[in-house]
Amino acid sequence: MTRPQDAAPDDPREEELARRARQGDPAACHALYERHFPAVWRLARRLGTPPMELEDVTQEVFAAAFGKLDRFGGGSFAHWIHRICANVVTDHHRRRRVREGFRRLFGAEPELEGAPGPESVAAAHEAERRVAQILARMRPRQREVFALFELAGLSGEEIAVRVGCPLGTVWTRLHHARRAFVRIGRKRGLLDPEAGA
Amino acid sequence: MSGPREAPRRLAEGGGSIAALLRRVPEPPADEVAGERIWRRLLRSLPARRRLAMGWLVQAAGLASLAAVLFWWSRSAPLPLARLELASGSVLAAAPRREYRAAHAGAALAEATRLRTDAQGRAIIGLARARVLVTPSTEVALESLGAATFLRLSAGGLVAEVAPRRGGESFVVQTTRWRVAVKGTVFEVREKTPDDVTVSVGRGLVEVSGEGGVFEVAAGKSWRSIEPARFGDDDIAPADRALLGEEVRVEPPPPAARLESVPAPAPAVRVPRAPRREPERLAMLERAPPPSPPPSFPPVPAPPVVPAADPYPRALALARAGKAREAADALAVIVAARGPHADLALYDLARLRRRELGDSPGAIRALLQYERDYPGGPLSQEVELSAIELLLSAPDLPRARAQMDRFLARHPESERAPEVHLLRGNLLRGSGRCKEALPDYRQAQGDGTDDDALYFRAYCEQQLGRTADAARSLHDYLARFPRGRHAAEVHAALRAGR
Repeated sequence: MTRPQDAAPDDPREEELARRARQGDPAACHALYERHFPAVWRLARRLGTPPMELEDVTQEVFAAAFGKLDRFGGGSFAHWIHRICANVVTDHHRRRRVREGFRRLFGAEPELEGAPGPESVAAAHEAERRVAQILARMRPRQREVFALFELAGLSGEEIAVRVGCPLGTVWTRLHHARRAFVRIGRKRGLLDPEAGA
Repeated sequence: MSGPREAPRRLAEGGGSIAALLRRVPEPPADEVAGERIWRRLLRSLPARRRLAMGWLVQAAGLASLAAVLFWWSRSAPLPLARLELASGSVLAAAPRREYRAAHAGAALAEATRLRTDAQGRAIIGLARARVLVTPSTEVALESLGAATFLRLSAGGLVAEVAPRRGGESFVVQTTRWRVAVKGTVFEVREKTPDDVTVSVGRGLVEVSGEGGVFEVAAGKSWRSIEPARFGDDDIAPADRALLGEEVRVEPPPPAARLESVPAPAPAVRVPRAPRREPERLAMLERAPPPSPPPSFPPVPAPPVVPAADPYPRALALARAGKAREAADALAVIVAARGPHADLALYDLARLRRRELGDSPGAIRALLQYERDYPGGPLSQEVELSAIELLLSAPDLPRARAQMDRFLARHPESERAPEVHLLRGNLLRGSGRCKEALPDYRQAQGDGTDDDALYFRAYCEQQLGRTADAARSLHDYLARFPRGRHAAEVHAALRAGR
């Protein structure tokens, strides 16, 4: 399966844009936003963010990035914002779990992400919903590697650079992530009980 | 020893139900309309978020800059704060406790000088990393100059070109009722009456605040206090921009013609930035009356040079020049010598290690040394808070917890105490100790912390089986934060509980 890659191309001009954005130049912020918005949006979705939360997550990622520009030490802005996006998504998954905890404690069933509706009748949407629900319950590092390899179609080397770990660690995480994916999917009734990775 | 592992095959390329499921997952399309919405919201919140995110570093930088400025001030002659670069038409200046006198190009303007132009008068004031064009019929006081520039505009208008502010620097124009704060920009502020103020922004971003609220005016836009919610187009006169050396986007009327129309006497015109002048403007300058009368005020000495022998300013200069490693070495020497500024140097060293050298453990060591060597020092609270932040991000949770305990024991009344209570509450809740977290959440009552504190307090109460208390806390949350970050979740929880 070949999928287009999300990352905006590395570009030395981005360091200049980041420098200007750091000085409060909104035009530079906008240029960075326009270049990276599609990638951040897609990555957030691939990491299991429900459609209803995508807008909030994306805004939070850019707000955090613009707020932390002082800590951007050069290099690839795409990789840097990728890390922020992964952290924000993880934070949202955690908050959603707290919210679901509330609902359970008050005696209600946990909310379903994107419960079946007219537009999710299509198999694609149903598959997306099930995968997102599983991803939301995986460990952040495993979720990230799984989503980037299995859904975004990135190579191991690309993932290693983005995630900031050795290639061997990517494969180890992927191995555990696949097991977790199957375990969680079966437990939640989102995968065929006989399914195996 | 095993060789490099071969990349596994993607699940979707195989067979079985998981492969089928993954193959069906569509490529998520980026929603461009949502993208536009997000950008509009981001633009509104950008400066505020920057301030929040910079947190302790900005505050520390501010303190350190202040200390450096005070030190510099104490050892040197008075700073040359402002100079009249151009005076055309009638320009009057009044030094502190003096009467108005005619002011001419080249005059030095001390702090608290008042400046007035008549209907044909114009002036350009050169400030530290900023230039201000004083338009006709204007009255302005240079109340504070230098790092914290503060101009009070009583009537008329100013067009300012301000270089991006560094940490601890500010540039503010105060009209009778509105405050215009900038980071780095070209803007015009004009007070027609106290209630009718116009701000036009040519470049950068400006924040206007007053009793009517806080507004951000972006590049290319103008704002008027009598219609604060409506933004028009930037209307800085091209000729005014040209006078400041700003690039003119709209075809301006010939600058020479404009200046020629200003009645005499036009005593002198200084070339502020000769290399950037366009041919037309050079011609204009050639036509200006040649000899410049003597300045109205005694000349101020040239900028003092920081003595090369003083290691602290030199270390700061190295850091500013991007030579982080050398700066860290220089600061370490100052710390070891325990001479003047050793405490500031220690704090600067921590910041440098964290920000520039990526050495968090080294930064923590420096902060803890500050705590040990300078208990009760001027930066002690900032140091302790920075240590907490670093230990949490390390993550070294037991030491972070111990640091929080120490901070709260030493500074129970600190304005930052609620923040630390919230952090400690979150730490305890995260490790399943809701009972211990509750008192912290109750005490986390400060700006920006109540929202989270109340929400997680409700969560902990619910976890402990205190359902009635939790419901009360959630209702309390909605009453206090109807649009809070967790409002949707609280609504959902209450709906589910009914």
